[in-house]
Amino acid sequence: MTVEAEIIGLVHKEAQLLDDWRLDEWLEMYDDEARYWIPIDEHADPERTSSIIYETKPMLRLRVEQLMRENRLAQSPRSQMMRLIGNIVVTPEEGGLAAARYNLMMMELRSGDWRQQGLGEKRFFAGRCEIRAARKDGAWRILNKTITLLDRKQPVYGMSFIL
Amino acid sequence: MNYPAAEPQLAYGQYVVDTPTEFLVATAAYRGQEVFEAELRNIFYANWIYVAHESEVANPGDYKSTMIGLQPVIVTRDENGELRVFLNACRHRGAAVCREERGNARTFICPYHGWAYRPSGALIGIPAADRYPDGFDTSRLGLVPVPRVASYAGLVFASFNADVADLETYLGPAKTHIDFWLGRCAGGTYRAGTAHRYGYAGNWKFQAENIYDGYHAGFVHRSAYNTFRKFEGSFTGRHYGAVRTDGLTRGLPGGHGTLELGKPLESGNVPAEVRQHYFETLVRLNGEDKAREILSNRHLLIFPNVVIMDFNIRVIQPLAHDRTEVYSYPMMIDGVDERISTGRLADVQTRVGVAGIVGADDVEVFHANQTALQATGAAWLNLSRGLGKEEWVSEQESVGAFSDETPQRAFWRHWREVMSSTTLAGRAA
Repeated sequence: MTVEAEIIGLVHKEAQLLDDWRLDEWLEMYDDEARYWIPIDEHADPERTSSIIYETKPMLRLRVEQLMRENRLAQSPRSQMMRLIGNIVVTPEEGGLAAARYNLMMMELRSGDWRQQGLGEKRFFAGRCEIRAARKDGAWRILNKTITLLDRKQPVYGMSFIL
Repeated sequence: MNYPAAEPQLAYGQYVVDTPTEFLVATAAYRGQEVFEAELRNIFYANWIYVAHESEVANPGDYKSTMIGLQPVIVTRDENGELRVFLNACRHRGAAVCREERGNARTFICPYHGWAYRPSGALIGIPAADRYPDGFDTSRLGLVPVPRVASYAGLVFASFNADVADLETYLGPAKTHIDFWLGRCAGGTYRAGTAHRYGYAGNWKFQAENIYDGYHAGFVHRSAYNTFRKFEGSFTGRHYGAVRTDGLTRGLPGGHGTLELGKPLESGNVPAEVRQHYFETLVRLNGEDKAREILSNRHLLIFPNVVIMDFNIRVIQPLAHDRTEVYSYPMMIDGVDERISTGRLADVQTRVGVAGIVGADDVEVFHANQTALQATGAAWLNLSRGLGKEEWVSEQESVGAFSDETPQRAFWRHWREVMSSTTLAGRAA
């Protein structure tokens, strides 16, 4: 299989694990030193400027724990999610590395009693994703992921899941 | 017991029932367009409203587009370094002249017919002006100023009410708590960072009253606190039990109030030696007792809609009776070790930022509150917790337990007072 095909497979696998709420497996796709970034200002240094999320793997592990094994109010009922991925461009790099850019359209719905405020609304999260991955022990691990949302400078409503 | 009926016959002054054994607020106070418009008139257009931190408009030509109530305004630093606040509306045919949220400009040019204004508000250009009558007086056609602008501790407020009491009188004893927050600069200066912004489909007062609610945390945030417990060293100090018994709440005159945790802000992953050096600087500047007060964790709501918590300034922006946005500005400190600011930023962002492990659960409750407003038969909310058990340290300042509804009662007593007034009018100059 080519590097390109493998990275496309990696991107689709990540989307599938998130859609299926298999977050423990999702987390293991990330390298121990990974950074996960949803910027407000994608040109700024995330160590010095506000982001929607800028986290290391240990912090992501905390989120996964809360979402998978604690009864989070903002996820009762749970979000149902569907990710569409398009326009993937893979760039193989030297030394067992690869980068990819793609567009993400994620539709999310919390149903429950759909007539109540905050429930029953299909919401759309559109963004440009960039990942870098490294081949380690025969498998690709994500080193960095950045999701630059279209509406990143505006208020975000109810982001209580992993995008 | 039989509660008094809330709708439709009550005046706004009767929406709050304050007896020695019970404190009730009518759900009608949160519901619908009519009371919201009265709040705009009697609260947002009659009081001092926070518009900016001075660092957001530090240099001549700097501007920020924002809102007072629902009215669009521009905050500028003019050519002479003066802070100005104007209605964002061209004096010709009324289009908004500023369409960016922040920036630096020499002129604001109306997109409709090109009328041009200085950051001082002065009208300096009308295209093809020769078609106006002789004697047409352009000196009277500057952007409409908001009549009162004042700042305290770098916090810039403005008021549509030309007769409003001066800002320091308005803030009253809240100044003490602002001063503690300012003291955290440790000789440096605050700079407003990029705001974390989130929104919810509910009334603005749900967020305001939640800021100093020490009763909800163990329930609404249980999943977060349980998670923190499982990961040693994460968010130390945020491991609450069901109902916390240390710390206090405080109701202040003017509707202001605090939640005081009675212990220092968490480490925020700032290295121990950096924190130690920072603390020693605070002690050198203030003495040890005051240094401890300065670092003590507290949330302050300045009536009606601006909050100081952690190092952050948080603005609660109503957009409609059932729609609210929240902007939380991390305040970075220039002049002290950068790791203090960056460590606090990361801590606050993950906890109560846009996608906060803690904060997003509050929004869930605001939505539940808003949903139940349609249950008009449930006409009264009960805010009696701590009533008669709190300590009155002055005629208008009361101190309750951490989980008491003491600051909420201060909010509602003031709300009742200003909403009962018929003499206030919301009008610009």
